[in-house]
Amino acid sequence: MTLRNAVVGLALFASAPALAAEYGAAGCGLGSVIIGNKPGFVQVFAATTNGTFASQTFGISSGTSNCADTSSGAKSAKAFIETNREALVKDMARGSGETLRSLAAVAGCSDAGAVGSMLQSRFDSLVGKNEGLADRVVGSLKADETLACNNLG
Amino acid sequence: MALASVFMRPLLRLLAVAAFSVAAPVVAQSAEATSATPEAVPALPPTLDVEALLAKARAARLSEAPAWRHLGHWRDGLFGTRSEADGPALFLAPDGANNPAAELEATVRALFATPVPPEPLEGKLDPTTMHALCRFPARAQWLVQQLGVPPERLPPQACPRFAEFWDRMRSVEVTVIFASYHLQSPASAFGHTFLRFDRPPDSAADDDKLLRQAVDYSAATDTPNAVVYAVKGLLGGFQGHFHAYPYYYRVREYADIESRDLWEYKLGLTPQQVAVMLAHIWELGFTHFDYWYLSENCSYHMLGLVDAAAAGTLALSAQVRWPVLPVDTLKVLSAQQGLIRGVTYRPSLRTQFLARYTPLSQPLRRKARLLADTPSEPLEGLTAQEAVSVLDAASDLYDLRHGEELLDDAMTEARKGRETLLQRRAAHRVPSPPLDLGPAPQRPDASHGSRRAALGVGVDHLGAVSGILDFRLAAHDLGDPPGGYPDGGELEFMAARLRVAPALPWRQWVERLDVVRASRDAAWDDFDKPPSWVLAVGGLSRQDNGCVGCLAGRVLVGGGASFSLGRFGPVVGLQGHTELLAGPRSSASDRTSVALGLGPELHLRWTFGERFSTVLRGRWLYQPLVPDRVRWDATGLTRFHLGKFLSVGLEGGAVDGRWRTSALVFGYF
Repeated sequence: MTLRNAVVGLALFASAPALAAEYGAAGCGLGSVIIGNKPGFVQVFAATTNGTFASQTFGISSGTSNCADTSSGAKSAKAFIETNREALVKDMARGSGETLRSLAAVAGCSDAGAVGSMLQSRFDSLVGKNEGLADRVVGSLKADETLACNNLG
Repeated sequence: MALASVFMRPLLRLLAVAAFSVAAPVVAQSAEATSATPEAVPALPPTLDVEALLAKARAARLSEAPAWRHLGHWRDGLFGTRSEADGPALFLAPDGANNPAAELEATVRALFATPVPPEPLEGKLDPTTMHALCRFPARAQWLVQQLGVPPERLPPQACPRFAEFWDRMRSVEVTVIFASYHLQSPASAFGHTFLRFDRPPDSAADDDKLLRQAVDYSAATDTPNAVVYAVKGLLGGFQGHFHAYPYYYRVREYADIESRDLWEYKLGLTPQQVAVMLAHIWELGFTHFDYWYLSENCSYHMLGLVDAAAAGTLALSAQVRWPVLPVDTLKVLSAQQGLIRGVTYRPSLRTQFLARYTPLSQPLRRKARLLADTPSEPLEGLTAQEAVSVLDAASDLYDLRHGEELLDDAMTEARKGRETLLQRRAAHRVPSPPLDLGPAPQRPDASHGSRRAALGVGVDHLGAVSGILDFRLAAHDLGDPPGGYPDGGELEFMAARLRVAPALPWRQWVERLDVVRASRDAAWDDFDKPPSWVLAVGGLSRQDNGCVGCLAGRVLVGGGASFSLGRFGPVVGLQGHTELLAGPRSSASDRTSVALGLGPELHLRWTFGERFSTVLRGRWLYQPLVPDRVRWDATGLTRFHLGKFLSVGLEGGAVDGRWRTSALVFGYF
């Protein structure tokens, strides 16, 4: 096997620059996705933006901690919003979509369609700037009692 | 909690009730486990006769059982039995990596050892201080079952970290995800596979797949140098680890940013088997494997996990051939009766955009393109419904063009433009209807086999008749049956063709010997201008005026653009090529040993349905190092596909007026 791979390895030099882009993000925050896809960067840089990498041997047992638990709670709703920002904002503008339904599920809202209408109608005031997007969206879900989003604590 | 108990039971009735006691909060909350905290256990259970258990294990030859071999990833090879795991933490016995029997004995002893203080809830785990029950839950489950030990006889060990893991991951189903070919990058061109663990939705929302946990195996790279990276990757120089992330990370990364369609293959495993798989992933979290891009790669280890889950009833990782291509692992899975329970298709951003854009009329398409260029472009004279359709198509196109810029947190121009578009869309207070994607494309596992062999006869300009032998290890060229492969993508690995003509010197027999050859020929359209490129490394027998019949190494690099002549018409492309040929002269009359050629290449390819493929190429190369300076060459092929296993074809080529043709029958397997 080693010999076979060695032969191949020598031959693949020419395609090397692109090889570095494969095999996934090393970290967990958006940094890994962002930087990992910028030309000229390799995943190792993504990894250093994320402190969990050094102990990634335990990526399974430690749950790659900062992307753990997406099952419930305002905290996981906010984490979800941050990571899915672009897709979510687009779904909010459209008043429908899978990312929006998933947010409704994280937040424990019973009617994803109603969540979509509410976020669409308040789009201008919610989006505007990036900072605090998650807080504003979670706040508006909590404030609207008719949505009954019961997972936001 | 009813749900939890359904799939907790198989694994944890054996383990949690007695051994994991407080392990799983879900269990702790259920009536049967409330009394099982360590404090609540009045006394240690009666001591088991471990020696008797070991004797039983030896008599039953448990260490030779396929289930045990899969849990330790032992494989029999030339140098005896060895585990594929390269980190020490998967083994308790000092020689456990090479000795399944010693490892089994050490595991049985450790499982029944006195409980230890539970591991801390935070921080890095030290496997050496953990009790074997907490460290090897999948082994424990299997051994306890095989040895017929009642669960209450296990030591009352608490495993809070495994409990935490279990609560996060617990699932009833597992789905293999194939992130399809990424043609922008030769390294990702073969695709990628990982697993998603599913349970029925927690809430009333109809679909929360994005929130489920995905597990993949990837190399921990440690170098920014691409050449070092390639060599280490091919020679097993990186450590590979398993990781768990929410599925939405992967969807954003692959489907949105890289615009790769995702295929989801739901596996027909029982909830018990899924539980064993998860417990085994936990065990593997303590170790690493050396990452081999062409053999022990991401896809290989996914098969290894299925093997471990199946407890000896499957041996998939032994079935997949070298090199291990992700699509071949899908074929191994789907060849097992009942193992694939359903396939769904998750469209990439690009596919979604096309589904929104294609149904629009020409004036509306034009509007959508204008909007994607200038988000404030007025939209007069459209009905509300038309405006919504146009804005939805335009925002997808905008994201396709600006995807990576938009990930920047700063308020860039790109971000402002997007916001303008989306604000205009939100002003229409109607939800967009679900996207109609039409019929899904052909499944990737339904494509032709990666290996190809062909036989044929040929004749050349001298009238010499030759027999033709052709073999390729992997995977696809533009003349092969197109189903399941991306249009215009080509990736060949270890491909050779010999023209066996006893009348000619053997050096002339090597028509081509490509170690690797990859190309992308994607046509430009209204909204996307992808580059087309080709890259080939290998050797051939030269036919040009500079050195006829000389064996030479070859490196070819080319780039350009391609255009489609109508929706079902041919694709025509123009590229600039640089080709280097180098090798010894075969006789004194040969003029050059090295030829560097630079020049334009024109090609045409036409795939007609699933049946016909035609590719024509012609080149003019300027060769500064060769006395003749100019070289012409051309190749052409046409093939008729009799299904995905068999094709027949005619091919021809000419270099500096020396032509040769062949008729071939191709088999794919």
